[in-house]
Amino acid sequence: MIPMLLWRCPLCATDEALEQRRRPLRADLLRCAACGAQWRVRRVPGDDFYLKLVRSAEGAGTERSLADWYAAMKRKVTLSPIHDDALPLEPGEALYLASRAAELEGEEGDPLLDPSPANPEGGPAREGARRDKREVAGVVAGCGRLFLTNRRLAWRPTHPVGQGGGEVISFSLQRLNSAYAMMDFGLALLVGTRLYAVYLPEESVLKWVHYLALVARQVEAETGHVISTSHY
Amino acid sequence: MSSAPHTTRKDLPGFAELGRSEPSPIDRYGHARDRARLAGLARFVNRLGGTELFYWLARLTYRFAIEGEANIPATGPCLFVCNHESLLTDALIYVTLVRRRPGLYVFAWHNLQDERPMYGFMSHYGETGLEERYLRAYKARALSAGELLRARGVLQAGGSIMIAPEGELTWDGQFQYPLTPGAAWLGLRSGATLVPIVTTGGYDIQPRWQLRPMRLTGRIALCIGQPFTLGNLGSSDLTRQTLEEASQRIWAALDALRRSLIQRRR
Repeated sequence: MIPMLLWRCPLCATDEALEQRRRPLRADLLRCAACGAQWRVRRVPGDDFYLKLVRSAEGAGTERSLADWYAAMKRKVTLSPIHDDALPLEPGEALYLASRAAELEGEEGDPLLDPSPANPEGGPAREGARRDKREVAGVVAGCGRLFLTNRRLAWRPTHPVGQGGGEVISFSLQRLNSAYAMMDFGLALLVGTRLYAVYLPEESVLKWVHYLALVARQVEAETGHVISTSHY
Repeated sequence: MSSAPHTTRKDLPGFAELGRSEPSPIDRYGHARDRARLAGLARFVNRLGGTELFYWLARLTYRFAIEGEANIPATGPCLFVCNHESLLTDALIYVTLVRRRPGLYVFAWHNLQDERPMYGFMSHYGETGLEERYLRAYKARALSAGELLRARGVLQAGGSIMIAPEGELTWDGQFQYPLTPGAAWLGLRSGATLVPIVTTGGYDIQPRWQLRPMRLTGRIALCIGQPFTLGNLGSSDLTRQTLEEASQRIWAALDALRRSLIQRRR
């Protein structure tokens, strides 16, 4: 649905405030729960979708393509710190984004997710990762929440699977090599040479890609470390 | 984790306590199932009345039009570089190419949970030898290097490969920039012929932000451009700059073809 693309209202810049109402045989409506703006959605086959602002404090009657509204939204996205009790921060650390319920997957035998002695790879985290992933299987590490700060991606498990425990797992941004969107439902993270997948069923994956790209720019400017991200 | 290595999301507790009554509002395997159904339908139609019936139906449903089909080289190493509008247009490109180039290899997405929607499409379409012909593109920087080496071997043996150098489906229908370097690397290191292919009209039928349900009306056009080569460089001659220039050339070819197609279709 359109709120996956327009995850922030292009007028009032409130995150996840847009709702799309399906109307059989009539044009869909898009409404912002924060500012009350309303658009009518028109599809032009072979071209794009067009959104006409039908209710708003200003600019009512304006019709632009969805790509234009999206570009307008993108221009307003900046990093600003938020607060969430679920993640204790270190001094000087700023939290930018916190997910809702999510699911983490990692490589089988990843010692970071399963530090038990039964794990044949045991020992310090990050050892034993193979570059050729053809024979590497993925396993679910459990449910939890993902956080993005100016220093790390943090995973706070709420329902871990196996013996990994419930401690916060931190992926330093200096070790994060790439962060790409998988279709419309998750992120693929390459930390060192380990592959992780975070499934975000409750929110827009594109929002995460945006913030990761902005933080990646910041990290590159400060340390020279490059984090590749998806197009957005 | 080792105690439950193949747990899926449906088995997991936790989502309810985090505010949801269901494990997930998104069916992440739905895309793969859709592709399989689409492939099954295409295969059935092919059996019923051959590719002519298939294209006639595609024309009826989506006013599907193909331009430049004669530009597909019948033999020799060939890299088909295409834009990445929607799952449906990927499938249409594949079906169009494989008619002239049976045994076509495909570079497509694959992850640790063995999710690979294009593989599902190809197998249900009746293709064989897919473990060999499906080249895995991981969503991670440099992890597909091994697959690129395999792909180079395919081209050196005279095979053909379909690749979408944008790296992923477009979010807003726009052609994405910059391209991932894999296609340029393959073109430079193999000396293969590159054939640019673009589609228009796939985005509004199945945009990435609403993959399901797929709309059953629309206007899809597929255009195959003039083949070109990037040269044939040894590994010592390949620099970051030559790679970027080659990528830029591919992008320019695709962009020009797309613009001219849009102009003609208006």
